[in-house]
Amino acid sequence: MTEVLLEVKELKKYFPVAQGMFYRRKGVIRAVDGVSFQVHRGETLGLVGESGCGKSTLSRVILQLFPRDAGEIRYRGRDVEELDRSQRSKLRMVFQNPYGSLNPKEKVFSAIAEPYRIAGGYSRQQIEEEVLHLLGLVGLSPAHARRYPHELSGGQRQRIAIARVLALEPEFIICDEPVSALDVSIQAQILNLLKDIQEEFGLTYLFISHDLAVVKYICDRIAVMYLGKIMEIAPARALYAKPKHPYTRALLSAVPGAADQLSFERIVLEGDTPNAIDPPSGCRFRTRCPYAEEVCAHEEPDLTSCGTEHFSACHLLHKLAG
Amino acid sequence: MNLLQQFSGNKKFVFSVMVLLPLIVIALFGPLIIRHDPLEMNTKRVLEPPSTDFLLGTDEYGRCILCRMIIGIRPTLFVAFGGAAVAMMAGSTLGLTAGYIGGKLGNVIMRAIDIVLCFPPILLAMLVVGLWGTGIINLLLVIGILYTPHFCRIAYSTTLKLRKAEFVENQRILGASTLRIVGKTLFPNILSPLIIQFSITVANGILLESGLSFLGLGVPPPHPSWGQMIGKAKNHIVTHKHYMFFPSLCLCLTILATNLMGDALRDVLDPKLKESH
Repeated sequence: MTEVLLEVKELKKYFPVAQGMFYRRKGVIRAVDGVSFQVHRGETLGLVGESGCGKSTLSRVILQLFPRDAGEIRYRGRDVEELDRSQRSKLRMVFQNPYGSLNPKEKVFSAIAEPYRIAGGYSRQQIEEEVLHLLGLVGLSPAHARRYPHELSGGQRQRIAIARVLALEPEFIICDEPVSALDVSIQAQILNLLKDIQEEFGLTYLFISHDLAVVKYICDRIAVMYLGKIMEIAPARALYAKPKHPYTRALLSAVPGAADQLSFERIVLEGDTPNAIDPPSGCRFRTRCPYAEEVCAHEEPDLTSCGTEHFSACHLLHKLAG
Repeated sequence: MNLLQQFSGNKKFVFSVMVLLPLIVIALFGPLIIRHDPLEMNTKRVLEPPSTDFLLGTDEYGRCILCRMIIGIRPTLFVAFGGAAVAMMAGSTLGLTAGYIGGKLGNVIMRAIDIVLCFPPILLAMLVVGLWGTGIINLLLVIGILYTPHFCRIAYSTTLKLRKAEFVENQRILGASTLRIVGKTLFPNILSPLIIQFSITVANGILLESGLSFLGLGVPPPHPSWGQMIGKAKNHIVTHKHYMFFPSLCLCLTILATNLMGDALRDVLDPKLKESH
């Protein structure tokens, strides 16, 4: 196994919920509730889950947009809070919505030049060379540098966001649903672009998505998240071929047209995700799990090994094998 | 369509420019074109009706009304534009701070702003003038303080909407300073509604200055201003209607034009606002 680039240990992020007159504190949303994983240099780790399961919160806590409540985030063995600015600029993010991630009052050139300007120490000419070089890398022409974001299509904007993220030689990039806001015809182009630049620059990705087809295409390993916890984490191939956790199976069952090819009993989920303010006792998935037993309500399952690099948090692994 | 075409196609904009542009030119070059001394009294020719010598007649001290109106534009516009500029600078700075940094500081700022908003403008203006005395700079500051809350609220609400935008988050990931984010990333994005508010504030400033001068709290005599002339003219309204008519007409036209300018700016810069009306 290659070097561990990013390590997250028992990470927790709670948001206080205040309601009513004078904002009385009512409780906390457990957006991220004890998440641990490692990302190895050069790999793509997928993070899958329904909306509201804490994927985006997790990514923003890693990048210190929100302070964490507990746990560790280590980048190359050092806590992210101790990184200086040049080291911190190695951790970056591509956002979901290319309409929101570019400043509407700023030309493309400025958007891509901004990282260099913030970092400082670059001459005007150096910045210009870098910007044009990056535009070329993502398949855009120098003429695009003079445009405003609203003059460009969604795919072009996402290319610009990618050019911007490549500034200052990043190492670890969080892709927060980078293609879910795009047309299907554009999605493949952007995914291939992400793959190409990963190869060229030796980048490491944490790839967040709710689209299982996209994740299967681009990821080496996949983590499945539910209500702020990781339910299963495994190499992509193993996860699709032999999912162990009932929730993963339910997600795979929901892929359109996949029902006939499943290696396991199809699970159709009913109801909504429980409230993250007051998650179910024991296993969080038990309220919607067709196999739930007595033990699931009392004990919270830990991630346990069930194959090569395959971990699943379920009490009933032995029963569900197959 | 570019901005210039949009503005030139807007009737409100064209009208307001046709009123305001000559006004500003006259304000700048007024002293060069007047034929009589606006301050010197001539007791032999008081309250004359319009004639070839005095185009708009004379006031109760025999001074040329037209000349006094021309000279009176300058303090009015200076106070209104200056006050609006002060209000815009103070208001947007406070609003951006409260909106982006938020927390306790934001609460303190916004509650202070609410308190200023509680006072009827003319009363607060009278209070301030009463405390500091009359004078052009004081008037300008009064208008600045009075209209700071409007700018502050606009800056605050638009900043609140934008502070969680992804392009702001990206700046934070890159380690941009708060000053850079507020000044370079957020400010250009909240500028349009502030510009619109600016022109509305200029109209209100003209009105407020005239109101205070009418009450005798504005531009100190013998220097003229429109509001002050209207105030003096009210004593002669029955016998000499022309004295009050011309300053009032000009004041109305100017305020109308400035307000229409605000409307036109809103139409062009913020089309979404127009739809909701």
